[in-house]
Amino acid sequence: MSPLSCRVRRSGKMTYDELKPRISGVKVETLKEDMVELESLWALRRIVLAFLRHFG
Amino acid sequence: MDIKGRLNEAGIPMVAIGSGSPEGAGHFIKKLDFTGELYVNQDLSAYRAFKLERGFWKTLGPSALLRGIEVMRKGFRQGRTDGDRWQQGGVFVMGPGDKILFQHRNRFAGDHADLDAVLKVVLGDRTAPQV
Repeated sequence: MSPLSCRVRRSGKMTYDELKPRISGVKVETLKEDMVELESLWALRRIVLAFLRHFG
Repeated sequence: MDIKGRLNEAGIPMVAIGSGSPEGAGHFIKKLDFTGELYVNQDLSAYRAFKLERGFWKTLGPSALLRGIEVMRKGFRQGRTDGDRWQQGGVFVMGPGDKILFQHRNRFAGDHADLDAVLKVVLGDRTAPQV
């Protein structure tokens, strides 16, 4: 493991290279029950992405 | 101006993902007057991909309970919820393309991201390095 990847692991931060294979094939559902590729949400734009603990 | 207003002004969409049902998401939108994009991920695959925390003690451990007492003192009362009760959340600034500009994973319930830091990344130097 490279010193850089050690630093990433210790800090809890993830690089995009680490994330990319993890999100491959992952889909989320719209409220109209359509499935959307997760990565498409930010492919062409900058977004603030919030993962909610729960609704309510 | 709150974070929602500042993001709107800058044309940066707020996209939220929840672990509850589409019906619960509908109630959430009405209750909080949420105007961003909302998606559902009931199998938690997106949460796992982003390495978000999950577990009993993350939700009901001492740090989470202390934070809960703090917000209750401020008058907040948790109502009925919809979603995986042990799953924690997080905030990320993503894109366009293969970029993570900000990342915060809640270590326990109530461990929220520093919204000023989020705004700084989003509205400040658009070429800011990863944090």
